[in-house]
Amino acid sequence: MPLTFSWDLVTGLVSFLLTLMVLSYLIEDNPAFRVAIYVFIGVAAGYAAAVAWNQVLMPRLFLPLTQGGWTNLLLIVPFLLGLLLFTKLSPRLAWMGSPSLALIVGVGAAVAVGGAVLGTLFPQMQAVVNDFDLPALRDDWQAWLEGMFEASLMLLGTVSTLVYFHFSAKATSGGPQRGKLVNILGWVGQVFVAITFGVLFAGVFAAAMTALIERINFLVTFVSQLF
Amino acid sequence: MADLRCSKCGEPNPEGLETCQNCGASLLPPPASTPLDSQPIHAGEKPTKKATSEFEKVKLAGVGPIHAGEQPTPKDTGELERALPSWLQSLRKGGKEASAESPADTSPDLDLPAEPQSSQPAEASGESLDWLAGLGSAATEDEEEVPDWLAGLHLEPDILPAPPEASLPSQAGKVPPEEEQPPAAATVSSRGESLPGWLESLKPKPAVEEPPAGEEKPPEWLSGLPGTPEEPSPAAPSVEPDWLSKLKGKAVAPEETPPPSASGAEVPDWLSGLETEVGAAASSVFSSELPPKQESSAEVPDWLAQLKSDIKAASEAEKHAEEFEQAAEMPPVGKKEELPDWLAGVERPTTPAAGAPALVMSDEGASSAEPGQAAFSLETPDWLSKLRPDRGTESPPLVPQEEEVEPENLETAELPSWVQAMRPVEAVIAEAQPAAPDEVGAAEGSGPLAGLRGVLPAGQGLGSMRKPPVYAIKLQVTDNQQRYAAQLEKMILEEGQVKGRKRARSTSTMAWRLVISIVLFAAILIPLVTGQQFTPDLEGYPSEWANTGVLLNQFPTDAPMLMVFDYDPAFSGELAASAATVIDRVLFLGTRLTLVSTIPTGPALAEQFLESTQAYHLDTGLQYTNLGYLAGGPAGVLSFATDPIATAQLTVNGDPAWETPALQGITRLSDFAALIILTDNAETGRTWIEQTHSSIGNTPILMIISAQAEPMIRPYYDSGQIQGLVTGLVGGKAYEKNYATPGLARRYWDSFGLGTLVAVVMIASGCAWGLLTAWRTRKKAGEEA
Repeated sequence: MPLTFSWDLVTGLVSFLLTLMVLSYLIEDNPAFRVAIYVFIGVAAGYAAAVAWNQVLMPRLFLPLTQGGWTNLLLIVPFLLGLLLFTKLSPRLAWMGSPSLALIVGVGAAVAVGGAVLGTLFPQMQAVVNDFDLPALRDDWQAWLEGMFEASLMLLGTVSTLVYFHFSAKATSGGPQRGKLVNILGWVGQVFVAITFGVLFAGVFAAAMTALIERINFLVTFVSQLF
Repeated sequence: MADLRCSKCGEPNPEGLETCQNCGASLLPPPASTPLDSQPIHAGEKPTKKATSEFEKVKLAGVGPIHAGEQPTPKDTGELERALPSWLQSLRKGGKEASAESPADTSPDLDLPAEPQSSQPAEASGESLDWLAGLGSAATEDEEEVPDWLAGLHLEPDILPAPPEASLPSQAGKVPPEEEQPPAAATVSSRGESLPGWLESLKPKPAVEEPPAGEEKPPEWLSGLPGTPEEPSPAAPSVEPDWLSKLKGKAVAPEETPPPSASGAEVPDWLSGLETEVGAAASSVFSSELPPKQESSAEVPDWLAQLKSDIKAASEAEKHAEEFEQAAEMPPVGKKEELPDWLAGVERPTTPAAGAPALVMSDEGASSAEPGQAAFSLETPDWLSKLRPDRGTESPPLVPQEEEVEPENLETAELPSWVQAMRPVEAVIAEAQPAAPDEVGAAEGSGPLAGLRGVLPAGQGLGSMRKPPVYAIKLQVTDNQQRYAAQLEKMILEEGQVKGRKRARSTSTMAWRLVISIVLFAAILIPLVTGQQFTPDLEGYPSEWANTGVLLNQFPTDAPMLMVFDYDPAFSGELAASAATVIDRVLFLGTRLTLVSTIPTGPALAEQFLESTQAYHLDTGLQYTNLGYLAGGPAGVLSFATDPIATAQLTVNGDPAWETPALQGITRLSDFAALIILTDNAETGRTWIEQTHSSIGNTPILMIISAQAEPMIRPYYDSGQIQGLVTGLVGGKAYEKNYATPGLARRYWDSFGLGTLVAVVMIASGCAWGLLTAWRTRKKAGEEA
């Protein structure tokens, strides 16, 4: 069904042109591509600022301060800390924004480290140990064999990768040399690292291929709807 | 009251002042240094040479330096006036003034320092040396300003009789400035016959043969000094000045004081008195020590012979240094208050270096530790400094130090000091003598300490006045260095040049790029346009897909679901294809949706996702709550997991969030039936897992992620931290097939399969081409080797 003149047609046309402008990079770097990039960056920044104002500052800071009464006076503290961040624009007054920045960095680091230790490190270590829970897999020898292989492979990959990044060596007359076992494990770890990068590349390629397909599908759909 | 006229500005000053009221210059008689000596002496200059050059300048043409035993020739001593030390000039002028005003004021005791004033005028005496007339006063008050050979004349100033007040020249202070004085040369020339006898001997005598050194005779006028008291000078009395004869006679017989009238016309009175005192005091020092006078004195000028003996006496007197110094440093006890006014201001310096300019001496005379030099360590006129004793012998030299002065150097010696000071530095450096390593300190080249060594501590920049060495400007570089420098210069020049837009890629590269793009676009476009199936459906299902399906089927109706939209707009196509079927299945269960995002664009993407993929449910009255943007990153997630009501109070539209139907009965995170996370970033997914693990309780986590995040998120599924995982287009296609609801995944699937196949073929072809090229290159290199 052909598109009639509507808001959808305008937005679709803009999207169509911007997509072509971005794809023009296949030829080489050109002004159309740059315009599309600049528009994207500008719109994204403006949209983020609008979201921060409309969804954060206004409803959660200014409105409570102006309409919330005495109970919300403590919001002055984050308000002042936020204002001090503007002093970072001036090298002479940048030191005044350091407390705010220190608070942000300190709280963020503490939250991230705590979450990483309790949410990733310990659970992952426990998971590795559980893979070697042989009594749990005793009833099903096939699952046990599969689990043992997977756990062994994971253990080998983890240890060999760590050994590969172990760069210390013994000082000998012929120069610093690593032991044979370390060299072998390091080579195995190098293989695991290469496989990991290959998997990551495949995932990125799959995501990019899907995005390209979605854009081409949009172009085809838009053009088919025009006629 | 007589005024003192400043020698610098000429302004009169009241008597008794030490400094000029007009210019601040010192009114005291300058120490023994000629005006030339007062000029700054620079490095490399030889002060002694420059001072003596004045003497050499006035030396008559064709007359060389006077050597030992040589008969001096009479000269026009008027030229010597310019070379006289300033102190002698000042004293002489003072004496002349006094003599002019009180010519008849004579005293039988002419032993006062102000003897020139009380003595007969030079014209009256006829043979008296007027400039020596000031020695009397100088000997009393300032021994350091007196030549050494005359220093012995006042060894014991305390025994000198006090000058009578009547004989003091009150007008002594009226010494006119030098410019007002008539030229000394003219004065002397106008009375040539009145020259003293010893100066008469300076007249050229070409027939005089230079006597041997052993036959050198001191001058007669010096023979009368205490240095040779026992032997009277045999020189002809017609040549010898009378006053010197008298002096000699007194030195020979100190006890015998001849009547002043006997020689009053020929010898200055003050010298007569001085002779008496010297005979009484200093003869005990010198009389027994002086060597006997040589017999050949007739061949030597009298004054030189006398000078020789006197120098010898001074050298020998070093052996009696203690007595000498005691006698010299003894102040005139009880007589200072009797001194005349013009002498009252002339104080004897406590130390030779205080207030006195540096000695202008040659290098040989720099060492004061040598014997025989003590008598010459005092301030001496330059022309007398040459007469210091020879270092190689114990006895002092009879003649000035022998120094060959070539006639062609006369012009150089006549240069004024201020002209010499303006010479180029190179000339000074060239003349500078390198300091001996054993010398203690470097000799000062200028200023009041000129000529002295080691008086200033050696420091950086103090001891050396040398010009830095000049190195060759031409660089010593090799050919390779020159080539490298040329290359570097070329590179620098190329960087500064404006280049036109460079066609970076060659035609072949551009062609290959277009070919690859066209092939890939064709592989993607053909399935989309034709609608035909090029890629077979998935065979079998991974474990996470089955577990996710089981999980979704366990949710009860009207279960609250929290959906997190944390992906960028660029991945909206992939995430939409992956999550459309899953969300559709959830919505079919009648669940209540609550949307939240930790990226600013997330709320809009959530709305767009629902509108584009779940239009059916929206049209049938789907109720959901969009909490909007959750600020703070991990901290915001932690805050929301801990207290969701306080963290997200309003919806994206500004309405109270927790009053909406979707959030009824929800007070904490664990109250949700499931947490569904849509993300393309492994870090974002991990943040939700880490920050909610302590608050989420038994609520399952289902993650719909992009394919690029799978390698990092899968371990969380394997560890059981997340219970469902849908990955990329493949996961969406699997759920579409499982639920037999074709959607975006199925539409994209053929293009995805064909495009991936083309990409893999091209990558493999490129790898094969690269290996082949490398093999051929290595083979070619092996053949060439």
